[in-house]
Amino acid sequence: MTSTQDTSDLDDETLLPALRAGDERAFATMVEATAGRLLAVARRFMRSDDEAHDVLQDAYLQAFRKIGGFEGHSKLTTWLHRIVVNAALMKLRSKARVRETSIEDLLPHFRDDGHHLELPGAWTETGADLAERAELAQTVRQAIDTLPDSYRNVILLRDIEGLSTEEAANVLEVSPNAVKTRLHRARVALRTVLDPHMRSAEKN
Amino acid sequence: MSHPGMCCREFVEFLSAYIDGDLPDDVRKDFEKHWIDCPPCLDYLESFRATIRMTHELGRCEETLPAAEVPRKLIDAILEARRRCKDGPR
Repeated sequence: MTSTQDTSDLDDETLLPALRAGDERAFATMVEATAGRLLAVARRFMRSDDEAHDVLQDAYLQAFRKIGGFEGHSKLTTWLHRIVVNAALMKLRSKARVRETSIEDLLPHFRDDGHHLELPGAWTETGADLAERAELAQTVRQAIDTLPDSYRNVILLRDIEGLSTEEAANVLEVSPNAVKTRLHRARVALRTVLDPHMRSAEKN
Repeated sequence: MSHPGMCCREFVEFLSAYIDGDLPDDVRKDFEKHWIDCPPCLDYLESFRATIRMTHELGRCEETLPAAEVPRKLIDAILEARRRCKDGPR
């Protein structure tokens, strides 16, 4: 059996006092109503379903513990979304300590005089209409997933989730300048990974 | 290819700052002069813009994806974990 209830009928005003009081049924209602959307968010960050499931469980337990401090300035679903993103980053951080592949091979190389070592070529693909082209969207998603986690995460937060530099810096616990530097290197590396696909791509 | 003022390496380093509007005027002028004189860097700029455009588009696509199918046993595991949780709301 599965659950895919829509979140649009979640009534924060009724639910919040019950959640703050530790009401078990209110918690179940919240989980049933939001798990589908939040699992989709967790999957964007994690590389396996098992990890996404762990993230979702961690996030709901954090929500249960922290609900007393949630003042209701944003919607409950927005607050939960942020908790899931944080839980996913926490899990990715613990993995990153184990191994982190180098991004150097994905950055362009230059001669001593500053010219390109290999001349970049024009792309036949402009990336237009990606929403209607599932294959192209999948190519871009797979390319992002090949990046080392610390670079992949900054692309996910800034370019996919749409966080500002300052918001991403807070979530990643680094300075805004570090976010800018890492995002730039991540975009350059992503362009390198996409390059062979986009030079020969034919619009379908 | 002759492009005094900025080399290809610097051009690539400044791409994000240029696109985000963070370059000081004098550096931006050198940046824009560079690509006029250097067609490969103009190709690089266009492909870099396409890369960013596609990630933004992907974000918009994934935002509107339908909710994921959640296995019942995952929901049950979450509810069970909450029951066992000793420290409640604070």
